[in-house]
Amino acid sequence: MKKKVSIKIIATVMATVLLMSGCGAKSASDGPIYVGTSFPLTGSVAADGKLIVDAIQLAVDQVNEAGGIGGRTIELVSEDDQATPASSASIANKFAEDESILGVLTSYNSSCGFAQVDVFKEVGLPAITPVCTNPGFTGLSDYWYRTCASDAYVGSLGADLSNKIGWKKVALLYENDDYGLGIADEYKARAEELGIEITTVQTFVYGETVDFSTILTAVADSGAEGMFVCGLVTETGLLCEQKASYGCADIGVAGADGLYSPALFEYGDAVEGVYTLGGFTAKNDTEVVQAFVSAYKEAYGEEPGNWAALAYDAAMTMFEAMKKVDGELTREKINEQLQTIAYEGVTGMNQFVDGDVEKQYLYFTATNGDWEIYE
Amino acid sequence: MFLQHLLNGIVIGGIYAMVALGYSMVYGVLQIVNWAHADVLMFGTFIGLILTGLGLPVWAMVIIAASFTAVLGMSVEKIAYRPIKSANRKMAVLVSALGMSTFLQNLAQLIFGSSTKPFGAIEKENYQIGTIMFSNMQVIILIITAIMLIILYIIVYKSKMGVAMRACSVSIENAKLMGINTNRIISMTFGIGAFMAGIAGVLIGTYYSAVYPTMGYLLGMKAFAAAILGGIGSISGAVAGGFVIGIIESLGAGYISSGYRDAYAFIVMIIILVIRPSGIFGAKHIDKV
Repeated sequence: MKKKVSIKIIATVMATVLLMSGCGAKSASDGPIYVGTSFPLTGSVAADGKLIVDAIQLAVDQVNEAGGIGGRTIELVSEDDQATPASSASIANKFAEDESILGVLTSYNSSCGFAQVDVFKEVGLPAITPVCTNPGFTGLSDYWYRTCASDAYVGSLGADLSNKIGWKKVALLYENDDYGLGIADEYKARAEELGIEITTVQTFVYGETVDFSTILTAVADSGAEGMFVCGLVTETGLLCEQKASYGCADIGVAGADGLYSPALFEYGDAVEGVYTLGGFTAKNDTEVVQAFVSAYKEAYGEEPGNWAALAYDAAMTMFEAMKKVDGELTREKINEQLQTIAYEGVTGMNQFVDGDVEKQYLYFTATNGDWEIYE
Repeated sequence: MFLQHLLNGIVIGGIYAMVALGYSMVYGVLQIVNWAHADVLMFGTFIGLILTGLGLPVWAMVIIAASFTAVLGMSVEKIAYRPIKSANRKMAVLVSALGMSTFLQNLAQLIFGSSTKPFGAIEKENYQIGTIMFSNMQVIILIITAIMLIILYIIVYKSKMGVAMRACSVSIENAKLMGINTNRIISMTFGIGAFMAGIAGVLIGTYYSAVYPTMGYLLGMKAFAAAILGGIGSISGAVAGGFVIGIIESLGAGYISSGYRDAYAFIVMIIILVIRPSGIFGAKHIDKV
């Protein structure tokens, strides 16, 4: 009796699995165009991940409302990479194997991008990242593009910013991963050219370090005039909150483009006067930017930030390449178009050389809970 | 700079000590490691954050949040441990504890969201004596830690319940024979440990101004290392272990490298386990197999 039941169960399970796999097969030439997205939707950067996916969704909605691409609508296959390379790699494999997915918009953390880039290269699946800024991506794959500038560029601009503020002695703080190291290396190189002395180098762990007491004590002790933080919003916010308690009240803070988000203002007065840099501001009064800003505001009730704009551009660049394809849409044909595309987006010209863009960046300073342009 | 690092270390050490007590007391009575302890702490801290948002005064917020944490700690014992501990299977209890920890963390992410929230219950003020900087938060942490440790000492060594608790830790079977309501004592042990953890959570959340669903993980691991270091099951051991871990961590990060900050606690724990497996204050006894 017992045996019979278990065989029945196994048969039912197998039948269900077979049925479900049948449902999963998507039609290739008509019906929606599937685009994969892989961003952190849980974990400590989930808020940024959601901003990015929202901006991509806005681009999708706009294109679909205008009639889609060759009469086909776009549909997102949204995955949560949890900001970990391990999940990112398995998502990449999933996208690579699913032949209905023609393009990918991916990765908040550079370390997650590195876990994916080879998978996409192998199967020839074009991917655009709005956020992975590590210099290591430059020329790494013919199927990997980014709408953000490389850290090589951001790091040296950061040193220029420190110079402009007038700091001659700077404490360099970096997040101990691909993102932080990428910027810190370029910062050091440029700082040397400019004659800025690096008084101490300290490191912290993204998503884990909440106690900056020892770092700040060392910074105060080193006699720095300013701190340059190669990190993201949460850590920098905590650093600013704590700095007065460890003798760093008069030491200024500047940071890489990871800070350039309205989320930093959750830390209130503590972040007043923080400097950063970025490629996009809603205050830019060009027509294309204002159209994006008003559409984004209408959809989500707030002004778009840097990441949202870069994500929107990444999505639009991908869709623009799809529109340019003659005949049947394939991964390879979309990629050919991306190689030569020149799409003027909300963050500037999206035109790729070795997968990289060179865009105009601006300096900003935190003033009364808003990013004002620093000139 | 040495004194500054030492002060920072003592302050964080006080927090570790309060959390370590919860691990040690539960282990003392039941010989199980309550892995959900740090997640109960995290929940209590979120309650503190919400109460502060409602505009409660700080003292009321701390007491209510800690009481909530105590109730939650006792509920965890009732739901996850009591039904299976009679089966006398340590492995089942261990897995149940890990499951409870994962459950609480994910529940918190679902309810409160996963981002790090600033926690400014107490306006920060900074003072300076000579070259040492300190804040009112650090003073508050040290004072509250001292008060809590004294209260705990009185409960454990001067009260009737303390006698019963110590009896349970010697032999739960014999305690039962002597007419002690062991279930009640076990429940109280969880409650007291969680109450201390609730206070530690609110303090550290305010100190760093950061509350997030995974805040218990590293804090709990280090506090557990402190409990092991001091000799798990021993109350004075947990306190000493907490301060030792805090100070070593602070000095290590200050003088060796800040990148390995979180590793020092565990390096020390491993060394102690090799040299003196029962910990600094741990009783030497042999588990009969």
